[in-house]
Amino acid sequence: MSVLLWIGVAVLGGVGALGRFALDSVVSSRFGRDFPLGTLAVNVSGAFVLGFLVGISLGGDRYLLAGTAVLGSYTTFSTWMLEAQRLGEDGEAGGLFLNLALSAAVGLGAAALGRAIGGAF
Amino acid sequence: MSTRPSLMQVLADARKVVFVGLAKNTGKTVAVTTLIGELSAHGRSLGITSIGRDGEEFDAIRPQIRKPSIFCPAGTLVATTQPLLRRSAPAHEVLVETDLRTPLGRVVVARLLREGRCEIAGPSSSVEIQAMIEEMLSRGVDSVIVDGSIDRRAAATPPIADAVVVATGAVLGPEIQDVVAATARAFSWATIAPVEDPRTRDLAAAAANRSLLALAEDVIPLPSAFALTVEPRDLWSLLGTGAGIEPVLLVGGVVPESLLEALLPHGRRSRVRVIAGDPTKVFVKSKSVEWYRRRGVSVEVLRRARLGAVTVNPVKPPSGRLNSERLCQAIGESLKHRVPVLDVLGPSYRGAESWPRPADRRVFRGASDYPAPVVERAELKAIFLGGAAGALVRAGLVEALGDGAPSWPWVTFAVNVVGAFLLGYFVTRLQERLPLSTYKRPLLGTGFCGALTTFSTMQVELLKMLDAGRVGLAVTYGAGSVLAGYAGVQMASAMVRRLRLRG
Repeated sequence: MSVLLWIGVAVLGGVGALGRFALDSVVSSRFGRDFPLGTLAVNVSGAFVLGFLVGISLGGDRYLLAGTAVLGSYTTFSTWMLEAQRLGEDGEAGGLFLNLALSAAVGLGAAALGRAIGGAF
Repeated sequence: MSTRPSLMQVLADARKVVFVGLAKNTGKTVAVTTLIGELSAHGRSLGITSIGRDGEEFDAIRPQIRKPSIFCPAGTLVATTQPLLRRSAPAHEVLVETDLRTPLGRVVVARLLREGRCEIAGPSSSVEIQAMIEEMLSRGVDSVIVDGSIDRRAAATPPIADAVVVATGAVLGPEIQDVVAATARAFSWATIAPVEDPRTRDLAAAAANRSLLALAEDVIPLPSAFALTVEPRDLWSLLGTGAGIEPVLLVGGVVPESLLEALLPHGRRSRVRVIAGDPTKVFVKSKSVEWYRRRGVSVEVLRRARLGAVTVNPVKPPSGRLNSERLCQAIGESLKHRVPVLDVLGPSYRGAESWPRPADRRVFRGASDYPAPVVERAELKAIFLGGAAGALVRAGLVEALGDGAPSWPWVTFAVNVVGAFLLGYFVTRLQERLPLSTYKRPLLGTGFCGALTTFSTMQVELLKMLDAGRVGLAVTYGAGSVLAGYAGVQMASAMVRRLRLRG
């Protein structure tokens, strides 16, 4: 493990976080804030791309940098949970279950689709 | 199509106007901007302030969503905080540095030397807002506009405002009749009758904001917390001295709904009058003031708040929309008093066309009440650094311990649950325990926790489990992560709130 590789992980991790912030900003300022669509968009797109990387059998350091660092940082579990919990706290059971179910189902579907497309290359 | 008056015409005789919104996305900021534009197009000078930002209006999950910034003409006086002024305002000169402090910094009065957007957050108590209004009027502005918060009525207290403008809209319900009903409920304060008889007026003047009970010739002083703490049984014995007498209860402070409920048994015998200082002191949520009046408990106020206008936003995010004309008309008909109901962005509205500029209108026409986000370089730096640290921790753990797939992925599970707990902790703490420091949210929340946890890796792990035929494991892992993450946020939030109550 070279120092350079870990510097790469840090830099790309930071870039992933910025990408999440950017897409989330655009989506949530355009579509209001009743439902956390920003996080959904980030997570689904990230799952799709990571699926694609798995599909083309990216491995080793390349996977560490592109997958674990960039896409791992880009997608987020904690914000998903926070937004779900806040919906629950506000008594919006419908929004809560929609948020959990939609993210889980569409996220898994996107990862599978990305992998299938990657595998066809 | 009948032409409706403009906001400026409706509010022509008001020098102090307070805007309140019944919910988010009711277009309060659009209404404020419209009035500013109309007044300034007619050469009127303006002072602008707002009721200080409070926790609910501020979003720790998305630091980029801020207090709506307001487009102000050159020469406008603003009462806002020093940091906001420095961050957001066009060229300006500070006229007064007040000693009012808010979580967002010291409040100052400044004159804008150029036109431009400015984030405005004034003090939060009505006395302090009053002082800011007077300060700006004394410096020669023609009128002062106060951007009140959502559902906050404090600044609508009559001594402060000549007129209140209430913003309502399609967000309050799916159909026109739902919006009308929700709006009418919220308006019961505006329709509370003023005290008419001179005897009660004299009594109130003598009471000077203290609570007392008047029964025929007897006047009984009451403890100051009376209205909040009285037990129904005590009330019964207090009022139960004689039938045929109409008791008058003067309440110095807040009139809670529990007091009105406690008076219901007496109201069945003879009418009881409850007198509050002004409508903002009356807190009636579950029923309406009219409902209590019909049951013998009548609420009156010494000073009435004037409802200057109602503005309507027919757009509901993300994509819903009601018919603007029909909605305005239905709300107008539901109000007892004739109050102009306007959709300031609607086709029949005739305001000043030159302002705000078309580009500004387009921004507002979007679903959100909030204009384009302001992003600072330092904020991006904080997100980047936090993200880098989060990614290093997660990647380091994966490299050291292995990802575990296709059996239980301990590393991902652990970082996700811990990260969710930490985010719940940080956000609740930063959101609900002011003062907030500037870059902690982007650094710790958006950056570190966001990057430490991962959604995409979890989905790929689930796929691998399903490939290996381990459906039970996949279900347990997916559901277990969500349950533990959710519980983590819940526990962290509860912990912060408990500490706050104690501290």
